[in-house]
Parts: sequence; C-alpha cells; structure tokens
Amino acid sequence: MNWRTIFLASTLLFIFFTSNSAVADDSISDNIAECEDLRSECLERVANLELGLKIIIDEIYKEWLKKCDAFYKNCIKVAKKVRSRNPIPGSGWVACQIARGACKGAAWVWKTGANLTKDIITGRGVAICNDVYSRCLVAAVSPFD
Amino acid sequence: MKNLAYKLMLVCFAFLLVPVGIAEEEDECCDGLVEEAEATLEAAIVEITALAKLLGFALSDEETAELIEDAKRKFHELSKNPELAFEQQLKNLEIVIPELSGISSTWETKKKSTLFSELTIAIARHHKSNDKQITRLQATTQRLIDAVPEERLSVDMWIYTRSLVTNVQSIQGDLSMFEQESTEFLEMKERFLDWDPESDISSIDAFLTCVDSNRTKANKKVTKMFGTLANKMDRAAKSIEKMQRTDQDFSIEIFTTISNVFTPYIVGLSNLSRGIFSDNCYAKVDFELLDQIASNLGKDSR
Repeated sequence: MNWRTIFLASTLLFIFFTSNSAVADDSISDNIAECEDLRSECLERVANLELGLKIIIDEIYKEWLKKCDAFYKNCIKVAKKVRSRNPIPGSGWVACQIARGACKGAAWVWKTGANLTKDIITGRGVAICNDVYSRCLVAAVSPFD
Repeated sequence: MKNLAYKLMLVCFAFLLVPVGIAEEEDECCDGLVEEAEATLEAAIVEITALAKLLGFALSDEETAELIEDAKRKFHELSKNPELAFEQQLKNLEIVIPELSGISSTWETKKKSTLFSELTIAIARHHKSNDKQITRLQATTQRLIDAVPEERLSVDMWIYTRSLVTNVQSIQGDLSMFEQESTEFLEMKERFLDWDPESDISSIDAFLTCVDSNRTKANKKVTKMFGTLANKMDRAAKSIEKMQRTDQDFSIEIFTTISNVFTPYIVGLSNLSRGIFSDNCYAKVDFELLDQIASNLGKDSR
C-alpha cells in the first residue's frame, strides 16, 4: 500500500466531509439566497414583459382608434357635400357616428383578444419563474440529489 | 487504493460544481419570453391589419411594417428602462386619482412597502371602499411589514405594485374611454328621438346602461380584490409571527408564504380588468338596425 495514496485519500476525505458540513451550515443559505435573487430577477423580467406588451397593445389600439376617427372625419366631409340631397338634417352625422362606433367596437374586440394573449404569456412567465425557483431550491438544499 | 483516491477526487470535483449548476439555472430564466412576446406582437399587428381590411380602410404594407418596427423599438426601450415607464404610469394615475398627486416624483425615494401601502389605499379609496375596509387593508399591510424584514418583503410587494399600477391605469383609461363614448351615443340617441320619438333606440340604451355598470363593477371588484388581499396578508403575517416564535430557521417557509400572497396577483390582476369589462358594451349596439332606421327616415321624408 502506497503511503502517498493513503495520504491523498485521507486528505480528500477530510476536505470532502468538512466542505460538506460547511455547505450545510453556510453555503446552503447562500444558495437559497441566490435562488431568491434568481426568482426576483425572473419576476422582474416578467413584469417588464407584461408592461411592454401592455404598452404596445395600447399603442396599436390608439392607432386603430385614430383610423376610426380619420374615417369619421372623411365620412362627415362626404356627408356635408351631399347634404343638399339629404332631406333629414343630421342624418349624415348619425350615419358616420354609427360607422365610427362599429369601427371602435371592432378595435375593442381586438384589444380584448390581444390582452388575453398578453395574460397567457405573463402567466407562462410566472410559471417559468416558479419552476426555476423550485428547481434551484431543490439543488440548493440537497446538492447530491 | 489509487482508484478510490481518484473516485473521491471526482466526487469532490462534482461537489464543487453544484453552485455553478445553480448559477447556470439563471440562463433558463425567461428564455424565449421576449422572442415570444415579439412574435405575439407581430401576430397582433397582422391581425389588426386584417381587421382593418375587413372594415374597408386597410393599412398599407409599409404602414404595417412601420408599426411592427415602432412597437419593437418601444418594447426594447422599455426593457432597458422600466422605471421610466412605471413613472409615466404613475403620472397617468395621478390625473384620475387626485389622492396620488405627487407620487410620480417621490416614488423612488420611498420604501417599496410604503409605496405599496400608499398606492393600495389610494386606489381602494378611489374605488369607494368604505372606511372599515380601508382600515383593515392598512392594518394588515402594517402587520405584514412589521412581521417581515423589508428586504424580504420588498421584492414581492414591488412586483405586485408594478402589476397593480399597470392594470389599474389600464382600467381607468378604459372606463374614461367608455364614458366619453357614452356622450357620443347620448347625442345620437337624442337625434333619433328628435326625428322620430318611436325610434327603436333600445340598443343605444343598452350601451349606456352597460357603461354605467362598468364603473359600479370596477368599484365592487377592486374592493373585493383588496379585501381578499387583506385576508391573505393577515393570514401570512399570523403564520410568520408563529414561525418566528420558535428557534427553528423558517426562512424558506417565510419566503414561500410571502410569495404565495402576492405572486398569484401578477396574473390575477389582469383578470380584474376582464371581469369589469366582461360585457362588451359595443356588442350591445345594433349598428345595422340603427343604420337601417337612419336610412328609412331619409326615404320616408322624400
């Protein structure tokens, strides 16, 4: 039996067991803290994502409403031109309002659908963060599993 | 024996790698979410342009491309500076909720728990929560703040606060938009009645009633949500106080308890808006019938 082999093995065993107990005492709590940081970073990114999507949806919705208003203005111009042939005062205005209302209704339906998609993505993001945190925690408290 | 030494060396080496493995988990966080968001964004714009075509005023390909690029640019800007976007949302909220006046310029100096507390109370008041409900919300928030160190509480409270502001601001915007629409529809109703008092304008009335009930629903749902939050905070505070009375280390349990109070709301808050606007008020309006009535009036008087 080589004495150097015995010495190396016993040194390694010593390092292994002392570091193992050190992990139990100190590193585990450090690892848990790391997992918590990881989770908060992940949730922060999901919150950014949610806000980003929300802002974009609102921008598109505004753009859509602008189109409805532009259409309405154009409609009113046409209505004014043909007013002389229209016996009911204000009926052109009402027709344009109806068209604008329908346009805004369509935009609202779109916005509701877009928000739902946003919420599904956000939900998935939160689920990812929870999963990452749970797995990190398992690894942190039982490093040999 | 040499073999045993090498095996032991390998075990030690693997052991040293464990923290690295934990750090590597970081890369898995949120992977693909931004790409998915961008893909959704593009799909949404394609959808809106298709809808535009259906309604007869299509966006050109150039306009669509511009819209996609613009939206992507805004999205990336926001990712770099989310605080600026949050501040802008607070500014918007200050306009509709006067109790929050000044918060957009002071929020950065406040503790996250204070910001959470001030915002929830002001929003609850704005949505007509009564004094008893407000006092309970205040008391349970304070109890949780007292039970848990700020650094532990602030992460979840901050995420919740951001989501709350995003959703409440959006709700306020939609409520105002519908109320503005109501004035247009009211004017239209008067015109119809001027022409013919017998006009069937019941669908306009349905729209006006729907808009009125949105505001009432918003007050009820926000009050209910804060009531549930207060109960959850109270239960969490009690359970944490109990844990802290023992000598054992309950740090993971405390963390989980707090996260269970707030995390569900990150998704749940958007359900609030869906609940308030569950009735599509526009769908109540029979645009075809109104159009027909207006056309017939024209024909009758010829």
